[in-house]
Amino acid sequence: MSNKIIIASTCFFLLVSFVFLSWSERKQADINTKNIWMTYFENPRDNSLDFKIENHSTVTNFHWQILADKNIIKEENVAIALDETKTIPVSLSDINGKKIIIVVTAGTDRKEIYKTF
Amino acid sequence: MFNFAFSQLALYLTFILVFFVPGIFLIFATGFHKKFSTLELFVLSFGSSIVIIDFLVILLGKSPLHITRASLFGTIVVFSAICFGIYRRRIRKNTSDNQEFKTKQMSRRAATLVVIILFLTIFIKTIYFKDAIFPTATDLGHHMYWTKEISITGQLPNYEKAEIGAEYTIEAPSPIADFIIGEHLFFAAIAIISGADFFSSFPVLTLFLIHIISILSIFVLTRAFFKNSLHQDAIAIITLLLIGPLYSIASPQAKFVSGGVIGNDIGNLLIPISILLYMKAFSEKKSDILAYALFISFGLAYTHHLSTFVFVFLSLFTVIAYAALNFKSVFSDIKEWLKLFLTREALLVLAMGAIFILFIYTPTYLNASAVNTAVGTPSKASRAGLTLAQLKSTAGEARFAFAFLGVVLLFFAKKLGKYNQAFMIGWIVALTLMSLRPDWLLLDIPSNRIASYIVFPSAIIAAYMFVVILTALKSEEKRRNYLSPIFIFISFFALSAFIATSGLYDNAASLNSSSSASPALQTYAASQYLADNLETRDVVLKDHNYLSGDAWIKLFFMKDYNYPLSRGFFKRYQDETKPREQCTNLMISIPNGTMAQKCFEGTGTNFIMVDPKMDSGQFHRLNDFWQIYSADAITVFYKKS
Repeated sequence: MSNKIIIASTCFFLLVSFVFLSWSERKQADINTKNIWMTYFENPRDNSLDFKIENHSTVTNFHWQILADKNIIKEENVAIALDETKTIPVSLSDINGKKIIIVVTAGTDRKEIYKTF
Repeated sequence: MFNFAFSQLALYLTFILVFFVPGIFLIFATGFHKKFSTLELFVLSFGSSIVIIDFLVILLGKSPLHITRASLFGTIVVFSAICFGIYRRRIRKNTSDNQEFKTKQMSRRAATLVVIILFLTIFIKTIYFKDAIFPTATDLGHHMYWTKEISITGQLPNYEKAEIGAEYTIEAPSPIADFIIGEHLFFAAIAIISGADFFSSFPVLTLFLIHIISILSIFVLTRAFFKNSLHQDAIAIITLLLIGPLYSIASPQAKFVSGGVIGNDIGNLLIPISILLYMKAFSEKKSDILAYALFISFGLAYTHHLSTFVFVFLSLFTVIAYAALNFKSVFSDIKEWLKLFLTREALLVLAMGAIFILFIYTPTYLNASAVNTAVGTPSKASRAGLTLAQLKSTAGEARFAFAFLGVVLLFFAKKLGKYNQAFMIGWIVALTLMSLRPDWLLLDIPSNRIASYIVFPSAIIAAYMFVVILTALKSEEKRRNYLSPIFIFISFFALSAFIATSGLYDNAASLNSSSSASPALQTYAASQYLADNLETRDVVLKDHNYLSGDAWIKLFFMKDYNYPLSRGFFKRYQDETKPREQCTNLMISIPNGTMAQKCFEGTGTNFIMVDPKMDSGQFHRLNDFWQIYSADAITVFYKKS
């Protein structure tokens, strides 16, 4: 009888622990709770400058600038809701020999990506 | 919410199907349900199931059938049905031993204490796992690659990886001896049957379950060791305390679980089970139990080479200890052992094991080069043995102190049972020598990994010593105390405080400060981005020093165990014992260097994943690298062709 109590108790404790840990892991795995965002080129290898902003933060107002050899040639604001990804199409001419940097800011947070032609 | 509930239900039902059903049916088929206590059967069914699943999945993998949900489910059902048929036949023939197993019943008070300790054990470990449950651990990531490979291909994995050669090119895949198939088969079975995502709690929960059953196996083994003692339950309960809530987190406990040290975790389950079975087989002269022990030993050999190695040495030292303690009867006993080994049941298991190893699946470590790397004069400082202070730290200060005295006492113990005494001494002496003086035994294995095995035997012997000290102060026969009861009371609390402080301090020192989920999620998001954009000829290099969860990146690509290439820990590039490839380091650390350029050209590496704070400056200065992905914890560079 004692053995059965020990087995039943162990199974019960483990079940409660497992459900709690699974729930906890599920919450941790939710990228939308991490207050992060990222930016990246839609196509990493060709000459396209279209880029995406993927928002998993509470900030919704983003500002982006395109710099050609450190000169701002285009900038705009964009609103992106939590868990939303927006593609920003970019078409530029006369980019040969230039380093095109895309700077995205959200509040004080700043990220950049670039391609050199 | 519904999805969560459904996935949970599927996972727990799969645990029962994979970890209990085959073992329970095997136990009934062999009639062992009448030879062990309920708690022993619970532990045995779990350990047996792991071994059965390993062998069944190997057979499935070797058959024309693929390893799929249907084939796995069907195989388990067919195996269980065959076992059930054998059980029914045994009942009809009534040839089995009808006597129910009689064991000393645990008192209600003792059972309550055990339940409380188990509650504390699971509670403390759960608190630790709360911040370690999200899959980021390096070893676990490596193991999950192979598990995912089985679940994707439906076949047994080829343990191979493609490395960078002397000409800076990626060579054809070559075999890896470090991975043993038994570490991955039951994980694959669970993932395939339950449909669990690899990036979820399932790998750690599976190891947590194995770990708790291994603690229970130590409890039942301790009860078996001291079955002739008046203090059987007291020693077993204190052992449980010493491996449960105390020293609960440090290696090889919860840290090994969250870290994904799968082989050691299973070794720590199958070694006590094997000892329990061998001890019972020899002391009761039961050939069927010996056959069962051999079966579990084969399972151990298919699961973890180091644990198998440890088991071989502890067996050897057990024989030596037995011979030393029973010098007069040892030769007649050897004849008895041989008789047991030469029975139909034992020979059948040995023959099946040999057939499996020779003709069906040979464990990867059973080749000359792998054996040579583990045997011989220690080749590195980390393999030359630990100091006594290091061993004390590994075993836990209080456990070590009591176990040290306990071993001495064990030599002079009477009425414990000759096999029980020999196994305990053999177990701890083997591990002590393997940890402290590997050169004496010609071992070339990392000493700290061997030392982690000492935790369990030292807990058992420490508990024995603790009980002996307290009971020695009291005369059992005359029921009077040699010392004042108040002194005994104070002694008890002083010793308990020493153990509790040492064990809880160890827990506190091992706790995580917070979860590393956020940077790992960024790593995984970047990996998914690359996986969506990669072409066949692309080669990715990532950094292991600063990226979180980087070992899991390979699960997004599933191209090769070594894909993406990885810059390892810096110290690995300065190995005096053998030349190491330098490309993975140079391509990140000095990407414009001549050597790095050769490496880029030779390997074709064109995507680099690094921590933006630590490793982006050197790429920003170069015009042939584009920064194509940017997040707080990871950035990706593309090298123009």
